[in-house]
Amino acid sequence: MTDRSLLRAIGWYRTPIIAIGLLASLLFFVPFLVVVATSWTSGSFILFPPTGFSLQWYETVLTDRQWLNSFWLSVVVAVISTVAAVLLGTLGALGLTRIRSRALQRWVRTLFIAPIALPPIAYAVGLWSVDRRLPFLDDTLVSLVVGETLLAVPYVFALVSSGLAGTDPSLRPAASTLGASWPMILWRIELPPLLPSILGGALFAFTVVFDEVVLSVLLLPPGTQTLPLKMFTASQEAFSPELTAASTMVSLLAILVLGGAQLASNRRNRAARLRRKASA
Amino acid sequence: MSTTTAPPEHAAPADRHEPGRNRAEARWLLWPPLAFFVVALGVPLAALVLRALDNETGGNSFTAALTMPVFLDALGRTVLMAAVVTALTVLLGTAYATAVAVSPGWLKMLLIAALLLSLWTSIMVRTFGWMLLELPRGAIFWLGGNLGLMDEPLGIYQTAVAMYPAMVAVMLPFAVLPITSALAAIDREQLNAAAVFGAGPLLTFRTIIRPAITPAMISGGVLVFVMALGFYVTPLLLGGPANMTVSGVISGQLRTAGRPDLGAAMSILLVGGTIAIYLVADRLFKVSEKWG
Amino acid sequence: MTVALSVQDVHVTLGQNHVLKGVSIDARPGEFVTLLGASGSGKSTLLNVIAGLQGIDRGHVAFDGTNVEKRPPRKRGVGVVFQSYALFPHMTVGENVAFPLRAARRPAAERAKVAREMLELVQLGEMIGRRPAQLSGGQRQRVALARALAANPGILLLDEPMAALDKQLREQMQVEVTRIQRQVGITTVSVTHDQAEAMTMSDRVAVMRDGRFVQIDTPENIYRKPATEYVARFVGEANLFPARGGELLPDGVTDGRTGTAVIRPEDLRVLTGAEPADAWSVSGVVRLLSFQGSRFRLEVVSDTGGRVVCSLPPQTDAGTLLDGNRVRLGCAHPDRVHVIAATANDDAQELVVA
Repeated sequence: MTDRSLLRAIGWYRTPIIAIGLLASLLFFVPFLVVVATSWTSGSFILFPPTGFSLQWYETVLTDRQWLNSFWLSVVVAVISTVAAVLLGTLGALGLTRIRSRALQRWVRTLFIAPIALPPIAYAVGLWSVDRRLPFLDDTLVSLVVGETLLAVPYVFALVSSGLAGTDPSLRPAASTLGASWPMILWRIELPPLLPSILGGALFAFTVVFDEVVLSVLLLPPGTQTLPLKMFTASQEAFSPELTAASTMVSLLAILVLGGAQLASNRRNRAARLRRKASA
Repeated sequence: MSTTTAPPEHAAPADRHEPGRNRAEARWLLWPPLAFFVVALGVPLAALVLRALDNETGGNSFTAALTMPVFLDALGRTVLMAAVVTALTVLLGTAYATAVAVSPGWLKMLLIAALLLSLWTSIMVRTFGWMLLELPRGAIFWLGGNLGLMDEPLGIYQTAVAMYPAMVAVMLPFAVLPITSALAAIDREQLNAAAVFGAGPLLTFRTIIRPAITPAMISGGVLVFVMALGFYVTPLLLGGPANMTVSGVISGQLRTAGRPDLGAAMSILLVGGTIAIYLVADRLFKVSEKWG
Repeated sequence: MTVALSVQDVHVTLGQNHVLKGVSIDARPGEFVTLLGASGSGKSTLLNVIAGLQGIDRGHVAFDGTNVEKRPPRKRGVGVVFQSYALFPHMTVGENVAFPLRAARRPAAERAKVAREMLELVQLGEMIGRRPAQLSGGQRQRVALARALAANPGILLLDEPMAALDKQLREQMQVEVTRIQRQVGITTVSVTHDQAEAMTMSDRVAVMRDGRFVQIDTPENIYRKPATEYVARFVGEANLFPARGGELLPDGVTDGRTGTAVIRPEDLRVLTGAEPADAWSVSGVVRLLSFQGSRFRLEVVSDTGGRVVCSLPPQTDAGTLLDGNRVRLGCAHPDRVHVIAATANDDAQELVVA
């Protein structure tokens, strides 16, 4: 499905632009491939090119309680924060459409996107200062989960908002003239078509929280580590192939899950298009 | 169907909106997230201010921070770094988005896959990849050696040069995504019209494509810039101590120097500066409207 | 007289705009009333006021004698067909039609029965399991109509119901919607800017301009006896000439003018010279003769500089009406000439001769 009009407009610049794009894509591929390659070394050091081939470091990681614990802690934090962020971001995006004043609408939108711009370390210091003042929070995950949720809300908000922008604005008045109360309109009319956007937002939020390292540097209770923090500290101590093996595994997991979701949504869209075409 | 008569008249001025419009609706939808913002954003920022004012040495943490050469150096370095990263990212992002739009099928897939790979893998993993490439005897050295271009170990690890490719790679998706959708939204008839009237690629780009994607470039650029101001992990691991960013200095105040009040004061300066830039840019360019 | 719908002196202000400036209209049970006006005339706002989607500053809206202006839309018992149809994309056609009964918490069996009946009514019984995206534009419109009627509302509101259809389908659906409306016998208010649609479908047409009604009357009277020059020009093509009393003034004479005569294009004819000399006429030069299928359309620039449009029967000899030829036009049906008194005219000052 090439875009003839754009192709014509670009003219002979097409080839150099594609070349630049391909070179830029190396910035994405190469570091990842190097990480993968060094993880199957049979030696005890990270070396490139890897010496020999073995999966011994994968075994080491998978049998190491520390790695596993940090993985599950990350999953727990990410799940809780994602659920909260999905709830808050979706409510916010829906609530925004109920605001009549344009100026107020703009401010609220700005507020919901602002956490993207928040420097994580400074925010972490803020949460840490709260913990110092409220000692009962000290050994809990509360401040970490709250913080991660805030960082994830904008992504859900943005995706659900753009989903909302694509829906017919007269659905709500239509439902209300047909006798539906506002909770029913929300539940039966507005939310169902937004489900794909909400799921997309949830996946995005989950990845953001799962990968976030800066908040956990300051906020985790002593003796616990999330996966990215474990990687971070491991990289500053011994640079062992354990690290790249763990990195490879978690990346492959993410690619499988997110890639699967992407494929499923592509297939759904294509099926919907075909259905429409068949009936037209 | 109810046939009750209308409720008694209120003395209040007539409601011009939908009659019986349930105020509860807006309340239920907006209050939870707004309350969360107060707790999750307002409280920590207030705690930061209190922490910064709570100075054991009796001085003013803000003046102390603003007269610390380490902090000022880091500040200048961070702003410069963010500006360079933003410029590189937006330029490369424009080219990348255009390349995605004009590539034939499988190349387009490859370019999108690369972008998604970067979005889906963690920053830590990507940063490790760059470390392994840039170490003195890392992958670049191996490649250069095999091609006969390099015989001495590479000297870029823990220098400024090492940070930039990694940071641009981290930020690139945030520039590519909005520009891609702006490119897709260009009116194809306008492009056809330009072609019919004999405009070449450069004229078409200047008169139609560039004006159409400029808002996306700006909003992507603003976002990249404010995010780059908060960069912590990548510069720390790749740039080394000599290229400490503001975030690095702040974390140092807490973790090694034992001066949380200075760290808090610096945090406020960083948050304040970043949010101020974001708000101004948002007013000027409607950044969040492109996202929300 | 029984009144199904009564709008009394309704005012609406949106921001700085006074959108409705005191409008009043009644509708009899089963009557089809069309609000006709250009965009910005306030017609859609009035429809929303009746539906309850728009609050009012003052005035009254009553259904069957009961004031409803404080009632939210969901308690008004109106059925609305929206311009976009607003079908719920994630529900099947049947679920869409049954939705108002679901909102009223009716049992599932009743919902299914009503959905089937309503879809039979609009002749889409076999589409009950489809999604809206799988339907054509005309089918969607009928589903929207079935849904609007499903809960047996007291009043049916149509917001530019034909706007999304192409011309051929539009004419077909005008007949179809009118048939269903008659069959159900429901009081209906429709909004449109298409005067042909208003003429075809309505018992009465209410022409709106700048937040006020200019004229409320039967389609024939709106066409034959427009209350103002605006109505005359908005509904069909009109040639306007100065008049005194009930008489046309000779072309070019404006002294003693007391009103404006409206002559429809089909009431003008080309004079051959055999007519009595004292008959009213207008002379000019042919600008364009175009064949329009069933009739010729002749455009003439009169000697006084006005533009006169004339609709001629197909047997007209086109050879005598070449561009630039001089021509004299007379009145074919003097009894059909309608004179608008200058005092009745909202824009009499603007123009004297067409």
